[in-house]
Amino acid sequence: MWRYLTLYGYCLRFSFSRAMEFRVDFCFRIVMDVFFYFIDIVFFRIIYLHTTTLGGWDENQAMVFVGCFLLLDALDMTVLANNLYQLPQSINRGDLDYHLIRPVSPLFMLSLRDFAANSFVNLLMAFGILGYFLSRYTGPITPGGLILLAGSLCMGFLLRYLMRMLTIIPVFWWHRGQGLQMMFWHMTRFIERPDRIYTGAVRVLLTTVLPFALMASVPVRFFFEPFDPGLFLHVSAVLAAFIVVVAVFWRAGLRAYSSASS
Amino acid sequence: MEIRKVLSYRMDFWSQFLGSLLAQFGVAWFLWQAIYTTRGVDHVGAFSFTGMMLYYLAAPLAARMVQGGEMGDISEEIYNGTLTRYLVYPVSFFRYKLAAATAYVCIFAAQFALVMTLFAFTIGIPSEFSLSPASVAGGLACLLVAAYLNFVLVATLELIAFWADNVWSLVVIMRFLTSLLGGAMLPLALFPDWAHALLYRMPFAYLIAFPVETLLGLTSPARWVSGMLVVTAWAVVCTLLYRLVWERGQHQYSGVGI
Repeated sequence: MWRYLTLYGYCLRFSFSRAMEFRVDFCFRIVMDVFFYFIDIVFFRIIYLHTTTLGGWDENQAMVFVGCFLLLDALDMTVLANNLYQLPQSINRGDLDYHLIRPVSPLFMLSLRDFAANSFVNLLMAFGILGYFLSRYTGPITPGGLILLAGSLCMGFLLRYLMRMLTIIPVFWWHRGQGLQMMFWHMTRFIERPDRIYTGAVRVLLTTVLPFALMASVPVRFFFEPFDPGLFLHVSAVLAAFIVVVAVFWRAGLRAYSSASS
Repeated sequence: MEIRKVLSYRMDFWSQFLGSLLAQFGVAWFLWQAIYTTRGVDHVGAFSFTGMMLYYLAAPLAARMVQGGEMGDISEEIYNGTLTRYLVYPVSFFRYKLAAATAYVCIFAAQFALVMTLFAFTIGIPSEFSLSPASVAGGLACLLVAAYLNFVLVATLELIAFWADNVWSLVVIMRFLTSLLGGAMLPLALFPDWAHALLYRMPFAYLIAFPVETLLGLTSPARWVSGMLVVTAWAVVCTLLYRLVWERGQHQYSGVGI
């Protein structure tokens, strides 16, 4: 564990020094994410001009939800996005060889080595936005609730990573999986709306097989509502199932990998 | 050639189209269904639920048509130094890239027509819209000018690559702004009253909302003429700006790539 933390520390240092080489791009990307946050906040503000509740939440609660999905997005952009963007190319070009022969988990290196330093600034902003909306919430805020919110957001983040991996791993066989990955990005829109608006079969789909509705909504529900053990078990079961599926699928992919230009 | 390139990976092409459309439409469906049900109303603003859904079907398709396919194409040519070959071609770089972008517009226009026709024949056109051959023709004209305006706006932003290493984030910012202020995320009629005059002075509204409103028969002839004048004025201004940046940028260009 210590070895991996030390290694990640080196990765962070390299990532920051690399980001500083492209300073203008560094600033542009920060501004880009600020606009992303701005339009999502404005969108919900306008929606609440036309309704008083959405998915059972009033405007203040919905804005905490907005803070949560912005935080999830910022975490993804900071920690994973650069790495997972490059992963399909690494598989196709045979660059995976370098990682497979190293005495460290290839999945660890391939998923985490490039830390987006510019998005880190936005991650701090996303924390600020969530903190701001939490401070505006007039209901009771308990330390237990905050711990539950943080813990379930981590689960949501892990689930997002696993879902993303499932759209990348087919590249081992198909060699081109851009369509599937784009599909993932389109589906992330489902994260950005409260889960209770989804009904029927789509709701079942979005809370089990394609659990986008669980990632940001469930943490907020844990925070605002009395603790629901059934919901907690459901999320834990879905997460466990995805961990197993991704592990099996990744190993199968590595077996199918035929090195350079596969 | 560009059309062939776009269609060469058919599986990717159609999965991207359907994935994008279904996700956008699906999210809008559930969101507005929840709002109409919670409020117990038939109309939000001037839109019935079916009307709202038709708007949410038309807006992303219009956005897709106007925004085309390739993003970061021009800046990449500058960054990699491959712009050099265009400088010796006996054709203007601007026209070459505009022709390539037009291929995407044609393909996405066909998709737009297909989906709208399917909606009209299966669900029908809601009564608040007065779709007619004239509104379709007017909407199409708006879409073509909007596609040009979007191209020249994005191209100008991409030319900043003469000075900066990587400018794709500027194009993404432009897309973010277009999706909100252009009416792809929400009909502009749902914005507060004080914002309307401001929104229709900026170019974004003319990229998506204005063509869609015209197509659906929500724009009067007088409003259409004034809107077309505004969008044409923006197109002229942006073309002049593009030329200025192109002239200055060429002096900056070393041609070696980075």
